[in-house]
Amino acid sequence: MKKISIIILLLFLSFTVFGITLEEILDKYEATASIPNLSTTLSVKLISANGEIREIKAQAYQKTINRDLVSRLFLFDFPPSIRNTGLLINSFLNGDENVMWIYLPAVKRVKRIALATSGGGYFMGSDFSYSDFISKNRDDYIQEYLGEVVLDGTPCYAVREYGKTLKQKQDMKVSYMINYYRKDDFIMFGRDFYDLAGELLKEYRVKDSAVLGQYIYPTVIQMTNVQTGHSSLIEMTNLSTDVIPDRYFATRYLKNR
Amino acid sequence: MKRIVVLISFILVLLITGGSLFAIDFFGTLFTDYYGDIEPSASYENLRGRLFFQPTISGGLFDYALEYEVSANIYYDLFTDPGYTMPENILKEAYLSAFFENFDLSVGQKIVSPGMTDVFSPLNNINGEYVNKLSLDDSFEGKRADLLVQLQYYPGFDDSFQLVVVPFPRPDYEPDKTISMVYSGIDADFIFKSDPYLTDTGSSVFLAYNHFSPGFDLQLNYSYYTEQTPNFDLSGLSYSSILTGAGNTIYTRNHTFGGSYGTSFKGLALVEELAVNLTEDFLGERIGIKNSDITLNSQITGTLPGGTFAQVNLVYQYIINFNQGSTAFPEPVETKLEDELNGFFNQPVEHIAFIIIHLQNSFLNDKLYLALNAGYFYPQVYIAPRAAFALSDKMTIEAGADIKTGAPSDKFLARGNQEDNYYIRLKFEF
Repeated sequence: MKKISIIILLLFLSFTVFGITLEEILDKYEATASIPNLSTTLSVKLISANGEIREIKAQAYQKTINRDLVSRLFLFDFPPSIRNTGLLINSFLNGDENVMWIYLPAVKRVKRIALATSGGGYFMGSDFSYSDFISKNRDDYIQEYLGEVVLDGTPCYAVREYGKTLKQKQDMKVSYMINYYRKDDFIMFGRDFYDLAGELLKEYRVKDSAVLGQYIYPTVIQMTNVQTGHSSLIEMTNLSTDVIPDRYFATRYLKNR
Repeated sequence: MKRIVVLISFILVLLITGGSLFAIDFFGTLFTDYYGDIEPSASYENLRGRLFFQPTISGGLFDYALEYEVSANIYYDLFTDPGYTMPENILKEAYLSAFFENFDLSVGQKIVSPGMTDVFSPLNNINGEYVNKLSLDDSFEGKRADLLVQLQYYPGFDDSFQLVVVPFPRPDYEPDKTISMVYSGIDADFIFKSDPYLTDTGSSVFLAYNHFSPGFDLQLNYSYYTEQTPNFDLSGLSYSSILTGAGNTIYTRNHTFGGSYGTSFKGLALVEELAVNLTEDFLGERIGIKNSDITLNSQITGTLPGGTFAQVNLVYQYIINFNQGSTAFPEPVETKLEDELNGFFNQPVEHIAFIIIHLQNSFLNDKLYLALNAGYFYPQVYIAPRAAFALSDKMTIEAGADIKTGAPSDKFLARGNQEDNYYIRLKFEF
């Protein structure tokens, strides 16, 4: 009986921490981050280990179309080689395959593509992967509460997250992630990615955030590949949560913005 | 016609010089490149040494009720004659577009690209192209814009109907020239003459229905148009112990109908494109006119292990009523003429099948780009490696080669670049 009580106590402790459960942490994170409409001007600085900086600029739009579909639109402005290129990503939370279309101004054609894993799966040469921009159903992943930690001087809840299947891990090239949810507002303040060999691969850190009504959104994010020393800094300006017309997420807008 | 060209050039110069003062956006590409001939059976030759400028001005008028874009191609070439852009080719595109609730309207000189496959799309037939390009994938010498009206109607987000009317089609561009065919029993000329705009062949009309949705993409097309590749009027040839006289280029009309279907499947993007092209000589009786054909192009796009982007195109073409033509000329003259003209029309055999592979990957966080285009056109293999290194956000150095196995074609009417080459290019984009 004593053993059973200890097991029950351990199970309880694994899901609750000082009155908060793993589910509450994740629910509160989703409540702060799940913005139905978000538009922003995006700058991605690619910073090499020797300090050389290149930059990508784009207009970005994100909208939750319905409970199963989140659409994202990137309209690139810089560098000149990708000016007027558009990328439309439909991510499905019900398990359907994600769909991407790209508009290539050089040939004036919208093309269905499968970019998610090309180029190592990295978004426009940055340290962010396409996977980082695609919404996921949290039920498709396993989360384990690890406890409270202090990350860069900020108290956080640490949660280990990993795919349920080997294929999920292989697709993401990540065996597991440690997510750090800031205690005071539940935004994902940090995330450490561990490669398939279990070595630390990338560190995601929020450098700044903005309060948008009931939502809190990271506006400056640094992703550092600790294995190469390369990092990418996303800066978002002109944030808006105004309703974005559905027509923005059609191929017509991709080519006639 | 010269007046039209001069007028267009004048407007362009005004727009480029004055336009930058009020343009919403002014951008472009400036590059210098060098092509060298590395055909094993020929001596080394300088093929091209260009300083090339492609400026573009785009913006909106009346609070973006109207949008415009004007672009130009201007080059000076050290090694070719003439060494500068022909006046009719300076204006790349110049069009106005208006966007309404349910339809878009564009008027002007514009490139429009129907079809879904990226290479050898049989439905991409609105614009002609530059024939003498040294690299098949050179985007600066690809399609040639036409003066057109484009109307697109959108009943919903997923569907659209498109009508394109080209009142004065532009043929493929190859400089005026005369090719003397001297062969056993033949001493004749073939005269290539192409006006900048074809004013006497009638308007070209292109209709398309487009559907884009997560499940599938669909395009259905019909067109009745002037074929941009020339045919030949052989009435100027006569035989009296030897074939003499001249064959002249003419432009005829085609019906093309077909469709494309695209979908995603387990991380792959798949496209199937089918087109039936009916020429003016369906029965294949006139050897100077291209035969009708049926083309099927299957395209598979995906990612290989290691993150290499890969695309494969399998193309099959059936030439309808192949080799049914006859002439009043005796053998071996008739056979030689047929052989030459079938080669010119890219219809050398009744069943044509080839495969094209494109591989690309980026390294050093997209600073280094490597690609390979390869094609198997029995019995020849085409290999085109490409490399590009970003010196900065705006400056790129590129290099590549275009290599075909086997000897260059020995046909008098062989079209396009026949010899192996390599190139290096320094490109600045702003």
